Formats: sequence, structure tokens, C-alpha cells
Amino acid sequence: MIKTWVRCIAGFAALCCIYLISLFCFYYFEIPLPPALIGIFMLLIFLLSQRKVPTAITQSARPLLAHMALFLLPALISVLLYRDFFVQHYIALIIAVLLSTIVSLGITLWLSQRILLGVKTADQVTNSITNESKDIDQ
Amino acid sequence: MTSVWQQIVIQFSPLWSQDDSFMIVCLLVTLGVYLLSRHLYFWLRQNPLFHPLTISTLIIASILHFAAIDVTEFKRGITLFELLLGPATVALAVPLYNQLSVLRQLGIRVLAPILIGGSLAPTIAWLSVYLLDTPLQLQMSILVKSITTPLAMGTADIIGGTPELAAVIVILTGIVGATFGPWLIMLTKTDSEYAQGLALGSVAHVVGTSKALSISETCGAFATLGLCLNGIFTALLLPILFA
Repeated sequence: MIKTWVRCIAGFAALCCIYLISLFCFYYFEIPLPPALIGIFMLLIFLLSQRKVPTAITQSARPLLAHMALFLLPALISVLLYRDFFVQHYIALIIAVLLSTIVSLGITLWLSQRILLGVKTADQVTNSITNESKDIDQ
Repeated sequence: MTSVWQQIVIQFSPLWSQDDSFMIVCLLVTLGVYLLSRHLYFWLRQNPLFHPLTISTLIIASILHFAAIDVTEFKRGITLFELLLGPATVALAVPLYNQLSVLRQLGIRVLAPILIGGSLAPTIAWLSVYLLDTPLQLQMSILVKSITTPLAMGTADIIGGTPELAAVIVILTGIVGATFGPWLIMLTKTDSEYAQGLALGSVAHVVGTSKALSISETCGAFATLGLCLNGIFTALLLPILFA
């Protein structure tokens, strides 16, 4: 139990350090990317070099990702500051958010179904091949 | 060097430059409201219309209204949660790493739906706000509508949009995508779980991913891949095009 907590805190500290380093890089080298994205790349490179996710990172990443909504609340509360702006541009927002999302999701679904049709069959082919080889083994 | 540290320290300064008891009350209220709305969301079988974010925002808005608390003041009170968004976003590298083997196996064809969804959604949205002659601030904020909120906020900030406006648009997009997703899947007769997941993740980000997870595990895994890759592609490309 204590071990889990220690790991969780260590993982969290590591994530915070990565974020601080990426913030530093963002300001110091003036990289035109969101600081968090720089952090994602750093962690990804670290994970690739380790070839596995350390338990400490998994255990701290899981609650952070699951409760992301809590950390987004401060940004959403700012809606209240932009009330007039929303009222002024409500038609544009409805079209841009509602209509464009539905249309683009529909087209993406339709196209991906066509594109991935081959992938699915290819998978089944490999499955049947492996099944056949199993049969041969037997 | 020192100015760089100053810029970073300024972001953290609300933590010690305000009344401690006010800050603790704000944090506890926000946490309570969040847990309550999360509970409600699961109780209503994860109906996207009752997403914890919308319900929590509505509850907090009414609390602030009746208690006559200034929104800016309250926002300063919950700076801690805002700061935790950074490490939480960095943690997205973990699900992305776990999905990399799938990407390696299926190769380029998995990327196609992500690229289609990731470029189609902002283009259509931008065209509609452009034709309606809205301010540039809104046009820039709408470009990030399909990527995960923390990356969307950072990207909007760089390309001249408003991070808070972007956050709201992104969440609403996710809710619309997750609400109409199952219906659109039926309409387009998409039976491939890969296609369903990739489309939901790349157009409707985290909210779409949780919908995909309720369809199946595979669908959720592909949605995660769509969410991570589209977020990275968009956050890389937009600053190059517009910054």
C-alpha cells in the first residue's frame, strides 16, 4: 500500500518535472508549440528509450488522465467572462460547432470505413494464415 | 535566463499571493461540484449531454451568481487545478505509447482517417465562421476545435485565438460528436470498430473517446490513438501555418 503511494508520488513528481522543463524550453528557446506538447514528446522519447512504461508513471498517469475534467474546469468557468461574446456570435457558433462536427464526423466515418475495409480483411487473412500454421503444427 | 524563470514563476504566483482560506474554500467547492457531477454522469449511463464539465460549469456558475463572487477572483482561487493540467497533459504520452504497436502493425492506413477527420472538421468550421464574418479571434479559436482541450488551449494561444474560448468550443464539439456519433455510425453503416474509434477520437477528442470505450475496448483503443495523433498533428501544424 505504502509502496503504491510512494510510486504514485514519484511518478507525479516526474511528470511535473517534465512539464516544468518543457515550460522552460518553451520560453527559453521560443519553441512555437504548446508547452504540454513539448512535454508529451519528452515523455514519449523517454518511454521509447526504456521500451516500457515504468510502474510509477502508469500509476500517476492513470488518475491524472481519468480526472482531466477537473483540471479543465478553470478554463470553462471563464465562459462566464465571455458571455456577451457568445450571445453576439451565437449563430456562427451553432453552425461551426453543431453542423460542422456532425458533417465532418459523418464523412470521416464513411471514408474510414472504406479505407479500413482492406485492413480488416488483411487482418483476417493473417489470422487464418496463423490458424492454418497452428493446424499444421498439430 | 532570469526573465524565463520570472515568466514561469508568474504562472504559479496566485498560489501564494492570495488569501489561503479563500483559496482552500474555492478548491474544495470545485472538487465537490466535480465529484457530484461525475457521479451524476455515471448514474445517467454516461449520457454525453450530462458531461461532468457542462454540469459542473453550470453549478459553479449559479453558485458564483447567488454568492455574488467575482469570476476572476474565483478563477484565481482554483489556480492549482489549472496548473495541474500541464502534468496531466504530459501523461497523454502513456496511452499514446501503448497504442504505438498498433500503429506500427497497421501502418499508414490508420493515419488516413485521422488526417481526414483532423483536417475536415476545422476546415468546415473555419469556413462557416469566416463566411459569417466573425472576429479573427473566434476564427483562430475554432481551428483547434477537434483536438484535446489542453493542447487546444496552448495552440489557440500561439496562433492568436483565445484559450478560454477554444476550451468551450472544444468541449461543445466533443459533446456534439459523442451525442450524434452512434446515430452517424448507423447512418453511414460503419461496422469496422477501427473506423468508428478513429473517427470518434479524431473528431470528438476525449468525449468521443469515452463514447468509443462504451462501444468496445478495441474501439476505445483506436479512439485514443486518433485523439493523441490528431492532437499532436494539429498542435504542430497550426503554429507553423499561422504563428
